[in-house]
This record gives sequence, C-alpha cells and structure tokens, in this order.
Amino acid sequence: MHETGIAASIIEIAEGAARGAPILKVHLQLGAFTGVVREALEFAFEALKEGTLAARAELEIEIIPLVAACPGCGWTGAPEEDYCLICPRCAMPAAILSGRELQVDYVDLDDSKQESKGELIDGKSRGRDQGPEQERGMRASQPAAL
Amino acid sequence: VVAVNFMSAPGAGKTSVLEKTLPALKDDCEIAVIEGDLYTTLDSDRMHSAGIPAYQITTGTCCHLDARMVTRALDEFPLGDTRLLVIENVGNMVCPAEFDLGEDFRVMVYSAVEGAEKPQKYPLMFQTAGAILLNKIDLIPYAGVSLEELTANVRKVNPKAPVFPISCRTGEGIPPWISWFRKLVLGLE
Repeated sequence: MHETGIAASIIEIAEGAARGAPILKVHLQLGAFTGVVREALEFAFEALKEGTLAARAELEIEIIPLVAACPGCGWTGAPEEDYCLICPRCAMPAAILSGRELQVDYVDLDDSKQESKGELIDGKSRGRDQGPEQERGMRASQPAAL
Repeated sequence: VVAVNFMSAPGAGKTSVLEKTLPALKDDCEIAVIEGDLYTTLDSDRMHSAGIPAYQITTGTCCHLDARMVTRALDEFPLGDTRLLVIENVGNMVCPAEFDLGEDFRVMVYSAVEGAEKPQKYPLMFQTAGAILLNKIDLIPYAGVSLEELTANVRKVNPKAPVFPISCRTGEGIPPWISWFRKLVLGLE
C-alpha cells in the first residue's frame, strides 16, 4: 500500500529532472529485495501521472536481481528463495551487491516541446514561440537578444 | 545528533524497550524521541512519563514513517542539545523496512513468541537492522518456540547484527543490551 507514495515521489523526481519538458519515459531500477510490488507501483504511477509533466510518460521498470557476495572466499550467488546471507562455502557473512535498488535511473524528455524547455533555462522565454529546431544554448542566450 | 530508528510489528515491545533503555542513558547524553503512530499519543505519553522529551507523529492511515514526516516533525520539535534522537516507527513488520528516515542505525524488536520462521517470511526488516532484540523470552516456555531455532533463522538473514534475547517484563537480558547500545551511541557521535 506504500507504492502510491513511492509513485508520487518518482513523478516528483522525474519532474525535477525534466525542468518543464514533457516526460516520455521514466526508467526505474527496482531491486528484487525491496518491499515494493511492481504491479501496484505501475498502477499508482498511471493513476498519479495525470496532470503532471509525466502525463504521457511510460514507467519502465528494470528489475535488479538480488546478488550476494562473500568477502572471505569470493562466492557470489542469488539467495532469492531463502534470503540466506551466510556464505554456503565458508559460512562467513555475505554482503548484498545488488537487489536493494529503488531509484530513478534516467528520464526521456520530449525535445520537440521547445516552449516548455525554454522555461527551465529562463523564465522570461516562457510562452514565446520558439522553433523546434532551436538548441538549448540558443535559448539560453535568448534574453540578451530580447 | 545520532538518529536511531526502532522498528517492529505491533505489540512487539518497542515502547517498553525504550522505557527500559533510555532512562539508563539519560546521564550520558540528551535524548529526544519521535513517536510514529496511526492515531493515538499513548506512546509519547509513556515517554513523557519516563522523563524523555517526545514528539508524536500521528500518521492517520499511513502504515510507516517516511523522511518527510520526520522532517516536518523536526520543524516543530527543535532538537537543541539533543545528542540521541530515537525514532519509534509505526508498528508494522513490512513497510517501515523500505523507508530510509535518514537514521544512522536501525534496531528491530521482535516478539520471540510469534514463531521462529518470521525472519524468512519478513526478511527485509531483519536484514536491514543493525541490531535485533528478541523480546518476551520469559514467555517462550509457554509458546512452544525454540529460541535456538529463531536465533539461527535470524542469523541466516542477517549474519552480522548482534542479537539480544531480552524480556522487558522480567528485565532479563536488558543490561547487556543497554551496555552495547550505550557504546554504539557514544561511538557514533
């Protein structure tokens, strides 16, 4: 039931990275050894994205498997059934290498929406009709041209 | 400030552990407690009775604390000279484990009479804890639970954390826990 709050945070993080541009894709790394249910997260994301920069965004979830490694003998394994972190070879405590991730890896933005991208460079260019061929650097210099 | 997040299922004895532990540390450092609970202020009332400043977060229907709630609490609850900030999470063996509160250390309290298989059923909280207290060991003879089996199961999921069998009711096992916790807090500072 906490997936809703996590989905809200994911959208917030993605919007922060987008700086005004519409978001096409949010790529999330989700560890297998987290308390997060993928289906519930996807459902919450779809419900919450309306009215945000992520309204058209796809949530792409990359599941990162649980991998443990023994610092003593070098054993690595995936104890996903019993979550046993005692090294089966030498009985030393193993460390978790991966599987605890819950992070927005990257976002894909809609570059054609120059208008909204202008916002992030300088508020003054907001609402101005700028051609989609314009580069970021040009927009950054726009206020001087005005 | 050293922040320690206490987590457990409902009724495992978090508040009782704090009532036993914190007064013993009062002479060592200034202590404050943030209590997480769905509706009531019963737990912060108990802290006040124990002479510990406490701030209650009532989460409404939210089953865990998150970092934002703690941040908001700190706006209203200035820490001043506090050196040990204890955060008592909402009683829940699932959700709180996933939420980092910005703590330096996690302590899990488990009611030993609930069975020996729970570390495998709820591995995340056991795994992320830096210390694990097995409470209510005075009731173990009546519950048909093997403390050895339980301890072995805890070790499988978390081979590193120290495990303290305790009883808040009889006081058994409390002194070694307090002595270990005092060293931890003073060492983390």
